Amino acid sequence: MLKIEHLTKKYGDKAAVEDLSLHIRPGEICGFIGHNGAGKTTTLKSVAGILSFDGGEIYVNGNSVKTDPMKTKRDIAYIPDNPDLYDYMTGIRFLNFIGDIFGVPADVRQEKIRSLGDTFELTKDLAQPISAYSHGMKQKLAVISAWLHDPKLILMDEPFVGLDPKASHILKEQMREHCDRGGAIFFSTHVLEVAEKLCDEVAIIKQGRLIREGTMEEVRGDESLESVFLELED
Amino acid sequence: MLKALYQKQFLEMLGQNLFRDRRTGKARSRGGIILFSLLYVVLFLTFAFMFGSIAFSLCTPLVEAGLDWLYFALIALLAVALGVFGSVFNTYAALYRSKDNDLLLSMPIPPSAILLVKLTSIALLAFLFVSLVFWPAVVVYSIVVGVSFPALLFQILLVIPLSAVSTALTCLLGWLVALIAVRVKNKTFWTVALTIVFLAVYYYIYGSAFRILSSLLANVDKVSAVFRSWLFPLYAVGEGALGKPLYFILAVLIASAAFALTWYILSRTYIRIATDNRGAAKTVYREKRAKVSSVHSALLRREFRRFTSSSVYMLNCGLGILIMLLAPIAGLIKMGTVRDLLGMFFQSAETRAVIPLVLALLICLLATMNDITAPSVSLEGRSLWLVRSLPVRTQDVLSAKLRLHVILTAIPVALDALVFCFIAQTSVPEALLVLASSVAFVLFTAAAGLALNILMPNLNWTNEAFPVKQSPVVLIMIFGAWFVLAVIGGLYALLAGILSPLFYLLLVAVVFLLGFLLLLLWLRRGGSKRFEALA
Repeated sequence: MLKIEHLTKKYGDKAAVEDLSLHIRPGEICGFIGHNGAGKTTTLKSVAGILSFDGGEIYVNGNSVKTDPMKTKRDIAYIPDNPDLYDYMTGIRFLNFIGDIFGVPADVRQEKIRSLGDTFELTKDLAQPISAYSHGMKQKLAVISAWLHDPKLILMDEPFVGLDPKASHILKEQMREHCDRGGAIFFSTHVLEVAEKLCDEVAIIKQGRLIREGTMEEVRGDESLESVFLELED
Repeated sequence: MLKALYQKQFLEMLGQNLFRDRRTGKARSRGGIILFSLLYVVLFLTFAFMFGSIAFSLCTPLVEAGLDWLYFALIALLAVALGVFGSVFNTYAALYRSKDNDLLLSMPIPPSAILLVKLTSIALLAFLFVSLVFWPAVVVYSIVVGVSFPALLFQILLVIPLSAVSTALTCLLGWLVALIAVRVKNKTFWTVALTIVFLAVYYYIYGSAFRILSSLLANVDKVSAVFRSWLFPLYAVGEGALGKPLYFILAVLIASAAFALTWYILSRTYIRIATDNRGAAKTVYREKRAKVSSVHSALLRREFRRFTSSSVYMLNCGLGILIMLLAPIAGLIKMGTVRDLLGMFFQSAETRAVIPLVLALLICLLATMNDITAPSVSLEGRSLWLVRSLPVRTQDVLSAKLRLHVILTAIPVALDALVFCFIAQTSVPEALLVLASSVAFVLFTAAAGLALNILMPNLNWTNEAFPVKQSPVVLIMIFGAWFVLAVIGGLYALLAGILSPLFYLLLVAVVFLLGFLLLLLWLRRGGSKRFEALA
């Protein structure tokens, strides 16, 4: 589903990500772990087609992000760590905007908004302007918008920040269901316990380089993910 | 503490414009800083020349009548009027709607200190506008009468108290708007409506004052009596400008008192207004059948919502819509007078042929009040990631921005062209040419504003007023467009013997259209790439 081949992204002379290669198959949830400034967001944004990159290739569902960004973007949903959405829209207008961009038919859209809105307990607030939303509500709206067009690959940057425990639990369930239906998820997190419980695959990045990658069992061994991460960080 | 707050404010106002490239965040090179400084100097000088000409027409007759103080009093009146006009449209947002309000209010900073810093930033903007009028008038006076000390020093320094008065007036207007806006549901609409109404009332009073003063000019004693009693602050400014220390001190004291009083009144309600959300009553969502639209119309609707959701954006970049809609109505009501005036100014058939050109320039001048595309990229702000992550072509995103400007400007422009031509009794081909050249101008300025904003974006603002009001792009677009129109008028004066006005107008339309097409080409290629690199 996602194939990152030798990705390199530089800011001036400094390499934020260097020679990073990673494969994620359909049905997999891959956790992306690393310290602050390690290059997680840069990698996710490069995959989402937001940032251009200096070297390597990224393929989503067989299409190149570089040469065919429109095709890949249709298969992707991206949720950033701080969802700065359109404050000037109401929640429902924002969802309809996303629906229009992805060409989601009216009845499908309506059904999805209803079910996801109810699941995340946001339905009654959809008529409010986004400017009046709390951080958690914006995060929920971003999640609903991501699921709205049934993407194949969902990219999430620290998706649990700002969500209440119930919403976090629901999101984890949704993530699992998405992958059980054949989708894939690539998300960054600092909450290692969540990664440990949720992920099939895990990738650890340090100073722009991928230093460990594989199934949770391969990476963790007999230790906890936290111990492995801290050892690698040292 | 105040020092830190001022540093933050000035960095936001000037630092990112002058010393830092807003696109890359890197410090500008020395050459870049000089270039930017030059840009501002050129803009300042252009306006200084314009206001200097007005001052010159006032100075000689008043000096000859021995009313030197009245000259400065009238200039002060004009300077304060411009100061208010220059900052009133963003006062409400600048005072109460900054994104960093919560952060600042959470820190151990007295709200009065936060307010003082915000008032100072408005005062700086007022200072810019007031000095544009007052300093050229000082130069004119020095040329006509001569330089004397300490009069010259007082004249230069008077800009500070005048800016304080202008700030006090504009902030009180903004405060009145805020007091009402926090209580109503549709804040944006009411903010726009109230600002326009208050401003109309303010300028009506101003206009009446000017009319009364002009009618009194024949009677020196009466003028002096009115100024000494009802308009004493202006009298103090006038006498202070002539080098009388007592009056100068009085003018400074009155202005300081006005500023302090404004600060005091506003600080008493600052937290309440800045954090009030009474108007935002919760609306519970009721499911309606979703309407599906195309990507193009979804993007256009997004731009339209962006525009109509912001009172600062509408007031500063779209006020022309209202004026362009009101102008033909006013023209039709006063049709007889306008036709008489046209008959008076354009008597011969030769001069009457110039009318379409004059009309086109007038309509283009009105259209320059709309600069919707100029801050449209900057206003994407921190949500730029969204449009970049969606499967939409960058050129479609940019095209939606262009279309919004063109729709909201070209329709009133077309209406103006048709009504003005009807009033001026031009022929049908002449009217069509006026229409074509005005619309071509709108297309060109829309594309130019967008292109400039892609080249000079500011995505990291805490208040919409910064990209909308204090961005160099907006300044270039307004003043640059005026300059272009002046060049067109001037060039015709030179070529009048060679080209017929109609052919010249056709040429102008073609040039604008070509300029638009070239800009469009750039926007689709280089411009799109630059926009993509902003995320």
